[in-house]
Amino acid sequence: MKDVLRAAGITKRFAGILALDDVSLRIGEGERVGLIGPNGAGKTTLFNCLLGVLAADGGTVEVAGRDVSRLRAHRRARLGLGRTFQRIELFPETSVRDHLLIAERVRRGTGRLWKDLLGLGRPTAEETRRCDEVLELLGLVELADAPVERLSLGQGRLVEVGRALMTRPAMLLLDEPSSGLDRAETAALATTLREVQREQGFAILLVEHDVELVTGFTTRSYVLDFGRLIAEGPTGEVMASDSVRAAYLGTYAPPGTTGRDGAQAETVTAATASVAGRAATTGTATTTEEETR
Amino acid sequence: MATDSSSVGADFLRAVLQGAPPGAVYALVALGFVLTYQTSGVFNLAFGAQAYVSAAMYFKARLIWGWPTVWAVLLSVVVLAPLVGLALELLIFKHLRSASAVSKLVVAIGLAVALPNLFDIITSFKPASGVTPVGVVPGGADVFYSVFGLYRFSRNELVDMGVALVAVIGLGAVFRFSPIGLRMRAVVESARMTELNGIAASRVAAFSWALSSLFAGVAGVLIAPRFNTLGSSDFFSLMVVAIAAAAVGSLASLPLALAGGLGLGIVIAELNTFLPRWGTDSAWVRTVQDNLTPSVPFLVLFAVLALVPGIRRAQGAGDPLSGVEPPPTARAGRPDPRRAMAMRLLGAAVVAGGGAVVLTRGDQLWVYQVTQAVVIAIIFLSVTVITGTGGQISLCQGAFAAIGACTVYQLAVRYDMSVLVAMLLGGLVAAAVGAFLSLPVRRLGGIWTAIATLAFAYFFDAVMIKLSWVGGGAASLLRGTAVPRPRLGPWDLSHENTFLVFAAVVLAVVAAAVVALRSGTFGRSLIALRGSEVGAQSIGISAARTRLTAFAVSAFIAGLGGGLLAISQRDVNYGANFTPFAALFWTVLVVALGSRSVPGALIAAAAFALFEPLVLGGAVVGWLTRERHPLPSLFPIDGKWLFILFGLAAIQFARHPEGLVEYGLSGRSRPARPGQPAIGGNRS
Repeated sequence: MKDVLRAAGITKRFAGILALDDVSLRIGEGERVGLIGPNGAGKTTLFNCLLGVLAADGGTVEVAGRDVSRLRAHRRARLGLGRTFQRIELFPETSVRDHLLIAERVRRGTGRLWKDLLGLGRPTAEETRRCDEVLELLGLVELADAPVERLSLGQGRLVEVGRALMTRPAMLLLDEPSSGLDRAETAALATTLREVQREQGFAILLVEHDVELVTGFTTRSYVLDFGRLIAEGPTGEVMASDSVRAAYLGTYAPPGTTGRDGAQAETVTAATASVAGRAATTGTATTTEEETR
Repeated sequence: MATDSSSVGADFLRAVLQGAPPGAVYALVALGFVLTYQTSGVFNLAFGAQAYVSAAMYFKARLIWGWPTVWAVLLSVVVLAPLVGLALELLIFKHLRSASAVSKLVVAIGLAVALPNLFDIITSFKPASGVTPVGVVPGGADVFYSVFGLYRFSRNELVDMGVALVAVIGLGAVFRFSPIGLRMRAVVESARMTELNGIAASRVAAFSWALSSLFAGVAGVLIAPRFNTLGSSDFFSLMVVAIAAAAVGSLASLPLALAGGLGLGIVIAELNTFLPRWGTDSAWVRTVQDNLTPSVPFLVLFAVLALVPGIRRAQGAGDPLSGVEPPPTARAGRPDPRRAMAMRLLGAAVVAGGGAVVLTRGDQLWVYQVTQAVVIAIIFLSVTVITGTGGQISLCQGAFAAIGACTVYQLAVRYDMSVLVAMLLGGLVAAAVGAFLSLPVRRLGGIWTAIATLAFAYFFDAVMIKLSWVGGGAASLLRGTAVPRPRLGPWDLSHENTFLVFAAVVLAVVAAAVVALRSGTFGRSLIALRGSEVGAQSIGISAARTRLTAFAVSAFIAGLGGGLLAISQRDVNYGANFTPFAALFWTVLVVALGSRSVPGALIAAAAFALFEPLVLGGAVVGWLTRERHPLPSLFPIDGKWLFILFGLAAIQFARHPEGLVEYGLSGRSRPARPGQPAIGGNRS
């Protein structure tokens, strides 16, 4: 099987903290791969390094055999890395169709300023047709002309998927697609994704917390902890391994025994405010070990 | 000044002493600015206006009413200044806590335009009364104290330095050691988080605004004696210089702001001392000598913004609890198609009818004023491109327009070129400058683009316009910057009516081009980028390239309009048309009325050129009453109301970035369907 994405020795430091330590992974054509790990393990950092949003301090990224390590995010996107976002990133004040149309136009690379000036920049029939195909594939036809402000979170995710599909990605990177969705919505999203993926044959890298989604959706998984890969293999086996369980659950300490969490709430300095804020928004601060990372 | 000591060391020391007092002035303003920024999170470009209000109040009380100094200081600094700050917080910024930094910046720009005029109206203050401002100590400018025989400080200068020193120590102590200082820092970080800890965030914020405004008052009163007459634009440009000083400390550190201010003053004094000693054989050396000094602050500001990434993150971290804010009001309500069509027809009818009346029956003055509106509309369309479509605040559109105007002047005068060809070339030159400027600016984003472009505008104002190959230099002082009116085939454009028609045709072409651009690849990419930069990148849109194009296109339009303005006025008129402070009002006006659409720009231009004669001058009322009665004595209303009304109108940008025109057309934005959480970015 040919590799769509190959990363070798990715390293990233933030002000002395080693966020990613020599991480390597490879994803074959049409494969569905998971990337899991506890909060703060470096998943999003790895994601951003693969996509070129962050520049890695070391290591190489190859897309379909081509070294893209030095390319910026938009160049990597044009070479076949599509993505969705954990916190949804749509274009306000435009319609669902507008999202897909601009993606199609950029993929074709036919946009020129002089064409725009002569009024030739409007969507062609061919572009509209392809856009309609994808809208139909994702079940978004009825919402095609709705402004994105009207969509629910789940629908917004689908628009992101559709926007990414218009670029004909060789590989789609999904950043916690289940976040903010309930079980039914997550299941619906997974079903749609699986159908679309089967039809179009791109590979998927799924960063996810929802264990159910990862086990049901991916065939193979990588596990990150403290910026290092601690396990990889078939998803079922990886999930069952002791090291993964330890990484996720840590050594259990009942809240309040250390007194640290309680102290935070009363302090209003900038530093603790942001730590407490992260805990409040993610709502997963259970063990002191996770907190201190 | 004694010049007997010729040693380099003595000269160096003298320049240090000489530069310290103006440096202390920069430092005072910089401290106040940093204080506002740190305690309110607002990049408060109205700070200069606040300083102006106190300075003018002091001037009025001390020199016109003849109050004793103490009472005048009490009124202007201790009472008025904090009240202004409180009013700004309670009436405006309190309600914008969760607005984006850019929105708050736009509001502050609107206030910078509105506040001084509002003060002048309320107190019927006339800045130029032939009396020069005085300081707070008797004989401030006349009594000197010599230091080591090197330099003689005036009393005012000593007061400036003393206050700056006391201020930095006092403020530092409040920030570092007092409970209110800690709370102020916490509120800036996250007002909600602070409230969860049992602190009344709104009270702390009100206190910080009162404190920082007090500071603006102190700075204003101390600085006033440096100007011959009090003018709000001087205070604004002084503030821009001070921002450069504050930028040295990343807008975060009070001691570094003090050091930055002093350093700036001293560097300028050193340059003034030593630059003339270089050989003056070649012309370019002389050019550098003449222009380096005035440009230092703006170069420093620009360099810090472009080269120091840390400054942009200082306030970029954001509120950790921002997630609990309700999402911004979705502009889901698209204009009702029937209403929009009706308004379009009505607008076309008004334009056609008004045009016909002016062309057939209007006198010279009205034709001239309508022509101004038409030409200004072209320049305003450049704001539609960069701010409306691109979502970036550019404050150097005046410089772009001036580049177009100066190109027309230079080519017409030096090379006897057709002014119409020169106008197109002027657009191209402006586009090239815009593209070049976008290289360092394009990655800044948000308020930093606004500040960097402001620095460029002031750089252009301080240096470029004075060069002989731009604004005409010394030659233009004698001969003016006259620009001829051309002939175009059978039409003689020196005839005012013909020129109006010609200008209207150019406007129509530019407006059509802007509409075409917006619906094409470029416009769609730009709108995507405005909505979400990472989202746009994820489908392969190059942010850098798109922004470069946006700057170039916008600068081209501004340059074209600037050239046409020079042709229409038969002169470049830089001082009246294109100064940075004047151009600030362009942005305010377009943003307030509607930067997203072409009609918004057209109406803004009409407001710019015609609001004063039509509404404030009483022409409309005059037509309505039809000479049966003389005009009510209310008219003519002071033209300053133009700035007050539209400056304050810019406040609603925070809620409705589409502007008053489109907001009115959409018939109030309808909320998202119940039960469906609205989504979409909160950047604009």
